Amino acid sequence: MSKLKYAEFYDLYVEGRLEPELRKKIDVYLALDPRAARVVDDLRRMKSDLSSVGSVGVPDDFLGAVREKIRLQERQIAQGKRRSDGALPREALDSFLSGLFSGSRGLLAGACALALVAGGFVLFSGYGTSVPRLSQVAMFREASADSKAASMKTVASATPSAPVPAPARETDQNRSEPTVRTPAPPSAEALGPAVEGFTDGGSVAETKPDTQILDKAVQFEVRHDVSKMVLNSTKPDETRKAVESMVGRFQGRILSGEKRKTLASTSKSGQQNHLIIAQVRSDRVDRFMKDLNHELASAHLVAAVRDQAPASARSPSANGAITVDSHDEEMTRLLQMAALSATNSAVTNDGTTGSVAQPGAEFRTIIIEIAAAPQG
Amino acid sequence: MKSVERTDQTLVGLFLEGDQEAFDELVMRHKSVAFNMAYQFLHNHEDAMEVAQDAFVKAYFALPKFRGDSEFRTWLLSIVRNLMLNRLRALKSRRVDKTVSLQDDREGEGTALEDRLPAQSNTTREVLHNERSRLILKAVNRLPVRFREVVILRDIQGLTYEEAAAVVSCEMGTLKSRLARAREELRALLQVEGVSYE
Repeated sequence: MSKLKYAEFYDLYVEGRLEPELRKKIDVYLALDPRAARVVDDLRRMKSDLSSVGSVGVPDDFLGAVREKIRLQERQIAQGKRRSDGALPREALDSFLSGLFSGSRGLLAGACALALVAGGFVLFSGYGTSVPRLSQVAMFREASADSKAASMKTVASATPSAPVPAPARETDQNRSEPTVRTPAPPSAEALGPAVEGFTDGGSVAETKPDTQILDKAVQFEVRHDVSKMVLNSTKPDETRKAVESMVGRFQGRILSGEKRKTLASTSKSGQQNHLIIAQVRSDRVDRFMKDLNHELASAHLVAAVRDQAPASARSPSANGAITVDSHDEEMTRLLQMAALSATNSAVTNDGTTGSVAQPGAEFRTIIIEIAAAPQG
Repeated sequence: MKSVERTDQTLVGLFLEGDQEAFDELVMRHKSVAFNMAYQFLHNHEDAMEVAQDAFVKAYFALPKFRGDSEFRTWLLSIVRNLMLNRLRALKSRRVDKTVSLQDDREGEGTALEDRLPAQSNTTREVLHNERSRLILKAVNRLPVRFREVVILRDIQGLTYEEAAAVVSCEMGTLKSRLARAREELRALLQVEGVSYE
């Protein structure tokens, strides 16, 4: 046997897993070749070191935690089934989710592309009339105008009270007009709170729907906890990175794809705004907002946050509803799956009924639009 | 009389017939390897805990589709691996070099690295051993992911070639060459840390 062939067996030799006959042969070979013997000795010591690193004890409540998670998931599945006439088969969802989150790059890329299409499609489909503010998400159950006002106060008090430099505001009255943007470059003093509050998607009315896809032939409705914020930034790329980094820091997911290249919305003025669809664990959303606020402000990345239509203008019953119309059944099916995975929500396909925000949703979806603020 | 230990295959069969306790037994049997694999990879107790638990949850719902082509443990670890890689991607977007943070762990408020080591002891010998283990883990954590995973599976967790290849979904030859390169790189990294095998 050649030297190279012997080397192949060093690993098993060191572990004592070789057949006695082969082991003997290698013994003889090593006795004749001191250099090879040294290699084997090095390997033995390294393996010994690695195997002696030791293991960490698993906490006692591990099994209990697993059981609890299983119970929670079973409950969510049961709720989803009750709430949706056209609930997707679990196998299909499992298959989609495992594809989306599997280690395989190919599958992941495919799934991300699907999520991109789905996210963009949802955005282009005019969901803006019904997406709630993030700060109001906790108030969904009450779904009253009072609760919205209260939640706005909460956000205001959670952020510094520095003056905001005339952000390009939109209201119900001027929403269709091009956004007036802050002309001056941002200064540290003038920046104010970077994230004043999560907006409720009024600007989506500006997007151009893709008429090739949108149609009334097939309709389904998704109701879930989703929020939108618009950041006017003089440095959109850096802002995007900062947002993505923050999502990562909170162990969130970026659904707009690993490559994150193409998801964008086009405003009436023709400007391409970058879109990030992210998910953050529900119990970390508040902290996420605060930290993002701090990060963007301290890095001087955001000039203004576009505030949008007053909360009181919304119909409480429309809270959290996203309606996507498609004439393509296959596309609809895929979008349903993407939306379901993205929101942990019930999906209906009758176009008329829908459930309220699912209380047990583990992740909250946040759509972040980054608009380029004018320089100088 | 001591009861005969049931195989994983038996437990899977019992679970599929509705015996929930059989699944509990599978969890108890494999929680350590699942958790430690995730821990050695992610360097974070909370993340590892979540990944290991989620892997069992996924296994619970996917077991009816488990064809038994591989061992339950291998199948479970491949789920752990997928979840770990997803988690790593999420962490990557933080653009924080985790290997640097390991050093921080040691010097700063974090104790993740020490946690990973066996129980502390007063004897000089064990202190030295722990220090050596710390340096080794630090070097392992600097390896590229594809190298790190094979070293963890093969040399730290002690999986066989067949098992490790099944977990990382590659051919045996690929695994062997990857492992050889990983060890080469590890040796160089350890030398930088003052751990030499020559």
